[in-house]
Amino acid sequence: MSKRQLAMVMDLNKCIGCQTCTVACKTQWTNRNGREYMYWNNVETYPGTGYPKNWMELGGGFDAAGDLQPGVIPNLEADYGVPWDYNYESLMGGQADSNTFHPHISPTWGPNWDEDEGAGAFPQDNYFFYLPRICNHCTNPGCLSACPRDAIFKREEDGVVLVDLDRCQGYRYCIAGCPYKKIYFNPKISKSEKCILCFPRIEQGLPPACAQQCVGRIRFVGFLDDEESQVHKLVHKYKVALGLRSDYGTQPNVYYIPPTESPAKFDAEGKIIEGSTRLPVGELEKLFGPEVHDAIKTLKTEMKKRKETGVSELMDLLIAYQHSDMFRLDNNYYQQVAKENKRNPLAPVDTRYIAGKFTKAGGHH
Amino acid sequence: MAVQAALEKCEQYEPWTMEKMYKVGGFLLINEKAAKSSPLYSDRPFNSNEDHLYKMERLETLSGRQTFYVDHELYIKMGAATNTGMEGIRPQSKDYPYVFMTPHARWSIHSNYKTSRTLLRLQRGVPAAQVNRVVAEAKGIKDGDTIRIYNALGEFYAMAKLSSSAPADGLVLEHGWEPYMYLKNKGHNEVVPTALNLLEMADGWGHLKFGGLWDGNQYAYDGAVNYEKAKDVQY
Amino acid sequence: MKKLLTTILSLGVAASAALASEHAINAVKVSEKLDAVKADSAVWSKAKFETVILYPQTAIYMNDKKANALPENVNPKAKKVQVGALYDGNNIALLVKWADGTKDVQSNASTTSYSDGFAVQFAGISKVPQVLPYIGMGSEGRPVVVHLQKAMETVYEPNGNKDVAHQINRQQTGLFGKELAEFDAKVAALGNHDYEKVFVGEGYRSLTEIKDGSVKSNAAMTYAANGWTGTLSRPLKDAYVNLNGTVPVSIAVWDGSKMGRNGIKNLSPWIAINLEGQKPNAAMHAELTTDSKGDPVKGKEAAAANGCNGCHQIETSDPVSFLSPSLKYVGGYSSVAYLRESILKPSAVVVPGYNRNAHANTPWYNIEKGKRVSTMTDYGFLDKETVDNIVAYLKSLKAEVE
Repeated sequence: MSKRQLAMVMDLNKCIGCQTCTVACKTQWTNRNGREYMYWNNVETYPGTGYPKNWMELGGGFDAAGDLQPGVIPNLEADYGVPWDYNYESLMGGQADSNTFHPHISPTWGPNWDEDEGAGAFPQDNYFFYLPRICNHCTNPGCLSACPRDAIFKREEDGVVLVDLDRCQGYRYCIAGCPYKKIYFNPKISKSEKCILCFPRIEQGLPPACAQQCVGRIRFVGFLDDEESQVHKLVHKYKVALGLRSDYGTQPNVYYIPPTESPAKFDAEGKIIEGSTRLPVGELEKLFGPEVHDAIKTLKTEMKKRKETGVSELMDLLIAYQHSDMFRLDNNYYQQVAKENKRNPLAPVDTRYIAGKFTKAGGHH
Repeated sequence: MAVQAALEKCEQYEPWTMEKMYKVGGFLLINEKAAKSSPLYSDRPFNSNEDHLYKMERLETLSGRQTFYVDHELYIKMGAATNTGMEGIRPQSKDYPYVFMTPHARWSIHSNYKTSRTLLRLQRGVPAAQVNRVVAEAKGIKDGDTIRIYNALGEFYAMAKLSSSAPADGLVLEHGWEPYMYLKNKGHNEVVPTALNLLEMADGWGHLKFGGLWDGNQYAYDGAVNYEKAKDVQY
Repeated sequence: MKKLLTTILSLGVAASAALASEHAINAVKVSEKLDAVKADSAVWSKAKFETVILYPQTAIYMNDKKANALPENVNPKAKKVQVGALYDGNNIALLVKWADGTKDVQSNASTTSYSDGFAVQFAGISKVPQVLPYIGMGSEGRPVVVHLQKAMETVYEPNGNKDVAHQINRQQTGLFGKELAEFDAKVAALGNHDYEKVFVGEGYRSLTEIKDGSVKSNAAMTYAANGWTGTLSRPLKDAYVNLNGTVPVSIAVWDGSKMGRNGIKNLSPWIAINLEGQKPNAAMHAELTTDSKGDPVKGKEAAAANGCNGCHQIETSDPVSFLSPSLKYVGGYSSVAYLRESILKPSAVVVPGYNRNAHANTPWYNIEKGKRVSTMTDYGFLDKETVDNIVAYLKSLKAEVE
């Protein structure tokens, strides 16, 4: 376990599946040099096969005895989808195949292949919701455990899980070991790569690209041990933010507010069935564990309280009026860490979100 | 040619050139002069209607305000003096039992950004239509199959997405695809009658005389289609 | 059980029959310069080739479900390779030939393609040269240098040259026209190289690539007639090794069709390369070539009596244990000296890491005063004969030769 842990909370009630986070991450980190197929951040429709295809069934993680479980390394064509390209060139040049714009291969799979498909029957009880996923920067990472080369490490200062590319030799056991399949093999450099929680941004006072760009303002970022941080309040104080598939035993540090607000079902005549909800709670329990019932209860209670009294700290938190209400970063802390490790302390590029517990008021000049 | 001309004539597109657009994958970034109804800031999101809310500029409507009531006699005759939901005017036919819906796309403003490789990779990469899972399976269509969508007017091809969210009597295809992005260069408008909305003819023509944002209005949901698994072609 | 034992013993006998050649190769001194030697260089006609057997190294259970399920990996076979060695005044050269029915070149557009490859391990400079490093990438105070060549499509790795600028997407460079073409050319020049690497290590997990150019390496692989020829030449002396007289080396090959990589490979034990015309290192030669004098049948009984399989998987019927390395095929790649040391001083070589993370409840060592102390019982109380017998038994545990 690291000394401190950065965490992210995603409010699934607010995710609209716009993929802005995906594109923010893609254009920042993964649109080049063998990473084209990787989505360090993806948003999948649940229920669905997800990305990579059926990732929940590909093994990895730990059993109750704490033993790493074998897993499967997904295939580019079948499970991730080959990132197709287009004939822009011939379209521009007026060449023979320029009469249509088409991908260079027949698309058979991609990162958002089953978008909006969901489950149930229209219009009685069809439902789906969006599940944005990044690396969980686990406290007990499956990828780290699986690596026979000590090429994966968890940063002491903030618990970010990183690949040391100098050590990595492309064995891919990490991919089998990660139950979320959020570490990827870069075939061009024959090394594994993964979400870095935008640590170069965080150190300088900027939230991760996926979180800052999120139009639904669903993502909260901060340190779990900072009692004033949004993530601490959501995870530990109100206990409404839960890890995804915690049963994999890796202790994920990305937490989700379960989707509590789903419309009622319709009966055969198209009339609303009062008190019903389309989203089966069993599905939520599968994803977020039995704690989901208490989380839903708390959310509903606080929502009611807010409606009746106008006051609820939890609802205010979740509304996220300002970007600065969502991120509690700590540039001063990182400067301290840098000094201790004889590295060059970095000046903040943005001071709006620097409010963490090691940052003195007005101290970030 | 048209893009070339636009690049040359529109100061909002400066300093982009055709070559640069092509290199980045077929798009350009508009500059600060490109916004309407609000300034376009370089460092924060665009929020529309700042000009109207803060500078009290009038809207480009007959009244200068948002208009929810038009008392022109044609509007009254058509029962449309105020916003009113109506049945679609598509033919009720057993041969073409599915209503063809083309909602706004998730990321594109009409065809703008439609050729972005980054965004296309986040869907199916080709025009895809959501069809009701149960109906499609009964027709022997699997997810990812190419389907032929047709009616008496014409036909086009799309990839089938078997969905729980699509109505049994409908077919949902995001709009904004250009004909050249479809198989055989046949766009989705091949099957849409595009009947002119009679309200357009009030007071002559032009939605009460060609206001600033005039855009010839048609009827919504006037396309009735059928679909089947495509025989010889595949995306 | 008796039948199985007989099989194992007969395998042991078969292997020891080939011992003389399996454990020693004579390197011929040549006048030709070897620093740029290739597989088709005429100088190889002077080399004396010997057969070396490479055994599957399966000490720990890896977590790739598909690879583990391959029949070739469930029952791995040992592999015969031909090895010849030459040396000039400054360089040593090895040529390794092995049969491989499939040419597996790792694709740079696939996540599930694996390469054929080979590696040569040299013992590094150490205070006690006759005590060899642990075969699995050395051990503390006993370093190894490993030259690795993989069959791979070109590798793009500008960061390997500490070049961050060329990791930027060409679309985001702000370059255009001629300048952009120059950028592309620079990326291609930086990033399309052969997968040849040199590592230094003091134990499994510690292997670190030498990237500062302080080791010269000239390795290549060519495929023809259902087999690979791998060649390597390197200086006899540099900052990491000082090769003279009797040179211990170990050879490994990987098979991409078996999803080969770390944990799925064939490895020779330490073998001696005698530099002809130089004074052999007698102690080293003895360490490399002496076989156990014990009785494997009695050794098997002693192993059972001392409860070895309580923690180690020895027979296939024993459960896979996360507490300790599997000894199923340990005789193939381990030296007598190493096996004896491991029984008498279990903490002499303790592989770090793996269990602390992957099987936290079955740690195979504890850290005491900053040192790894094996959780294995110290068998120093056993008499010499029993130890010899157990070593002889362990040496007999080898995979069948392909």
